[in-house]
Amino acid sequence: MALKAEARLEVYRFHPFVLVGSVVVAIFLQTSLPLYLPFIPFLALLDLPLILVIYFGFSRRNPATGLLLGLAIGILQDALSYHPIGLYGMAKTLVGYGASSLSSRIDTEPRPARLLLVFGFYFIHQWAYALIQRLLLDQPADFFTLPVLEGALVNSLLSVLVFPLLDRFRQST
Amino acid sequence: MNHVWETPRHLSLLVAVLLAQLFLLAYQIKTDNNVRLLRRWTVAVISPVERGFNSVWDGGAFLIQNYIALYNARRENERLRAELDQARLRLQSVEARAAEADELAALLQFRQSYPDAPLVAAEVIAANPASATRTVLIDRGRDSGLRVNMPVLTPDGVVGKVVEVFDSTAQVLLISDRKSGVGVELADSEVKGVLKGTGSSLCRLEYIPHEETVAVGTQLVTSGQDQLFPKGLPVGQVLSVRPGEFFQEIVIQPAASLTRLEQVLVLAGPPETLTTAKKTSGGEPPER
Repeated sequence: MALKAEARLEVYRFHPFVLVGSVVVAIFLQTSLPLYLPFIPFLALLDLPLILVIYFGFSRRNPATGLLLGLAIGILQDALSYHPIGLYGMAKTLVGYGASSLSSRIDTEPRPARLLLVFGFYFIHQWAYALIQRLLLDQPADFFTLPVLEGALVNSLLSVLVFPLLDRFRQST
Repeated sequence: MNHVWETPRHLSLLVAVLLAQLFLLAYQIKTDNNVRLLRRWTVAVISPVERGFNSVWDGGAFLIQNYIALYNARRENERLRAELDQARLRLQSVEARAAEADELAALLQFRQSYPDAPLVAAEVIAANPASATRTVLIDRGRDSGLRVNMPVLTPDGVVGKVVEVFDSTAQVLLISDRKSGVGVELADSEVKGVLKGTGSSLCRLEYIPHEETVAVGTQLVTSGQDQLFPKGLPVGQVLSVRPGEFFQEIVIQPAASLTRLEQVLVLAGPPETLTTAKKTSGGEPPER
């Protein structure tokens, strides 16, 4: 059954420029939008790099690629932040691995599935981040708060818009 | 396409990447003591190993040292125990000799109180062979001038009388024997009676009328009326008094320690020789 499902799942690849460009744009927007549009509160909840990690994980369907991409994007995000490098890196590595592993077994193309999966992976990402923050930095971090729920909703809804946009740049293998 | 056999490889990669970042984080993060987390972790990982090794090493050394110490202590303990046993034996011997010396000194003093009395010192060499009788065997006999019915004394009081005489030994009937009877009187009132043995370590004072007041603790001395024991020798003291059918039933604690006799004196002459000697020397029976 699983093999049959795998057989139907298509693997996509992306031009390196698309990969790099999308990441750069996502990081730029992530750092710019809340700054320039402070009157839109939900922008502070955006995690565009996370959406990219999940998307590329779904498309590549390769855990190694997914986790490495998560690693790269997370480290990049860490590098631009004030906290120690590796916090987002670890969290996004886990998400990249999970997304790509899951996509190799189930169909992640339907929009409802994407919506739910992003919603779930957002929580996983936040929990991993909070766990690392607690264990390594010995700093208080909540596993479940209203902002986390709002962030999950915002990003999952945003993914519904972003994923089709990125779908335009993918190529079938 | 992902294959099942690739999963462990991916997992390994995931673990490696996570670990790498973990170390990266640990390298960056400093604790409150300004110590890098990586160093703290390293110390945390290495410390138990070092501590464990150290514990094993110390434990081994401790065991060896303890074993050696224990072995030495055991030998030392055995040696000390042997020395202690010897010391105890010596102490017992010394104590026995001291007691014997005290007893002999008392006998000597008693003897010196009656310098003219024919007192023969004897040593108890055997106790009574049967539980029904209260006799002892002394190391003096016919050779020493002993005869039947001679009084046997200690400085504490009357012991009994000679009932059998052999060449070099004699048998003494103790006052606690059922067959024994000694003429006695109460030291304070001179009320006379007969001391009878009970077969136990205690004696009984008989023939004391009810109208005579006898207090517990009253001293009992020989009356001299039996023609065997000189008058005035300590015999014992009243232990208990209760009314009997015809006479009072009075229990007497003998003055001499009849169960632990070692040295005794035998009056090798008529009873009056002791009384005469007492009068001439003016001495009193010593108190122990």
